[in-house]
Amino acid sequence: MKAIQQRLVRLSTLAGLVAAGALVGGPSVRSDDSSAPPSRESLLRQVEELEAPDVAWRKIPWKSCLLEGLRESRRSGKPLLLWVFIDRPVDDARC
Amino acid sequence: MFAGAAREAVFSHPDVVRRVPREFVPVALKAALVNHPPAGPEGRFLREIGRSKPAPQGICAANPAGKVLAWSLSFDDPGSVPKFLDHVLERQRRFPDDRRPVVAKRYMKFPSQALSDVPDTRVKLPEVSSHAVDGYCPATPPKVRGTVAARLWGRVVEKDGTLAADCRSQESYVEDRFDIPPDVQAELARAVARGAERFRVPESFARLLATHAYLGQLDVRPLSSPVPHHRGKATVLELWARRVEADEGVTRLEISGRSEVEGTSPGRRGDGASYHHEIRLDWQGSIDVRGERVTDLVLHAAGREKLRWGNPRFVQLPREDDVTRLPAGRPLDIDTDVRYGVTGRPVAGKEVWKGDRPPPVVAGGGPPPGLRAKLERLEQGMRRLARSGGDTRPVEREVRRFQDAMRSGKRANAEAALDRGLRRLEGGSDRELPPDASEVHREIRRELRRLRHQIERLEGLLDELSAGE
Repeated sequence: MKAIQQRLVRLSTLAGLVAAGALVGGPSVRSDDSSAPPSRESLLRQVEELEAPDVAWRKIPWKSCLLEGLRESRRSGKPLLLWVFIDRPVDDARC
Repeated sequence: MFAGAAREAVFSHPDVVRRVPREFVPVALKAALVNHPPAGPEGRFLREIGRSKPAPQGICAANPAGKVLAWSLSFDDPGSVPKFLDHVLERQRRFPDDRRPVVAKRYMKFPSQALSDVPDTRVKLPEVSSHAVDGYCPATPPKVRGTVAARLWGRVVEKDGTLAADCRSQESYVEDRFDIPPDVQAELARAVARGAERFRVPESFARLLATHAYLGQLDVRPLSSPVPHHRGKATVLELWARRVEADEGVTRLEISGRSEVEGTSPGRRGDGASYHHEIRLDWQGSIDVRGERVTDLVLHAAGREKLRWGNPRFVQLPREDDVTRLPAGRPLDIDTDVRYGVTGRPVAGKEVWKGDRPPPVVAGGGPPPGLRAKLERLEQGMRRLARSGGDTRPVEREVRRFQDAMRSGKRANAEAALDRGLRRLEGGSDRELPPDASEVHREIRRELRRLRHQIERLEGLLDELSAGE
């Protein structure tokens, strides 16, 4: 009887571990300590690593102010190149 | 789709990245400003630019006097993009100011598909001075004091666990900004003040985060999409907060939880691009609260995302370069692991609106995202209430008040009606069901018919609001 109970305990523990493993899908949030939730600093590092450092479309220094653009255009003699769209991907907003 | 396609297909091209800063003054303008110019000198320049536009969005060049030299909506091939820059520079040499009439050249596709020229009206444009009206730029209006400016990054995680290397397109990498209004922060603060060590983060706060954590362009946002006939739902929106420390009036909350959202659209009229978008994320984070305000926010989420967007007819067309179909975009089909990060801090200095009246908004920009989000919550709540057999009539009355206020242009009253409707849904009392099952079914069907009618009216209103953007 005791052997059966012990076997049941082992099986239920194994089932619990399998169930917990099944819930872990996709990338997980890392923690400095596997048992403790991540600290603010740890989270901030994970967020900062998401930012792509050298994105091509960010290399063009888009202004958002038309008057400022016109002042620069008159000062330099260069034409304005206007990117007109729903919402504004300059200053990192989605388009 | 235009802007995202332009960013990855045109403004990531090495020649363009090299030449534009050197030979031009690049300015990114919200279409709402060009299509609905504000008052003042800036508005007059915007009106001049908008006068010749072939479409609400596009790439335009103007000379230093503010006269349009050329517009293009797309290009024959990648090599035509630097040729367009050459074309603009040639026109600038011929028309460097407003002393001679400047005809606006326009192209559906440069250079093969020219549209009709738009002649110069010879209207004298003003001197370039500082901004009128309270000294702020209409492109970046200041915000209500206490607003938290949030930044978000999202990135595909490859099968080997590394972050996606290609960050040109928005279906693999996004950067976004959004605001957390003071009233949403106050709801969180009230939950903190109730004193429990662990509590559920208010839905308004959780929903705002889930609304912005998605890959792709604005059109495919699963919640609060700007696309008409969009259906969005949050099947799981469960974030929990646990107090971890309190120091000098600041309470730090440790955040954990899950969001599952889904959005679909059969496609708008004349477009045909439909989409289905599902995102499942596990969240962890840290939020600092002082009084009624969030003073710091760091959140990370990881999970799975599926997105299909496009027009079935695209699949049958021969494959073309993305520059040839900027307005239409290209089909998207992703099923991937993803990670998102959000940081936030209160607006400060010039970002803060200091006037007595409500702060300015970009004219013609459509209903604020907060209002749209509340409408969607209300719609979902009414569906749930009807399914459970509850009495939707008190909420329907608030919906009618909302509609009347919007038609009268009274946005504050409209939002107040939405808030009352939401409170009724969240607090509200279900009518006691009669015991007889067939009577229950008849009652439910009657309520569903009434609810269906109200939802159709709401959908019509959302369509009107979207058409006005």
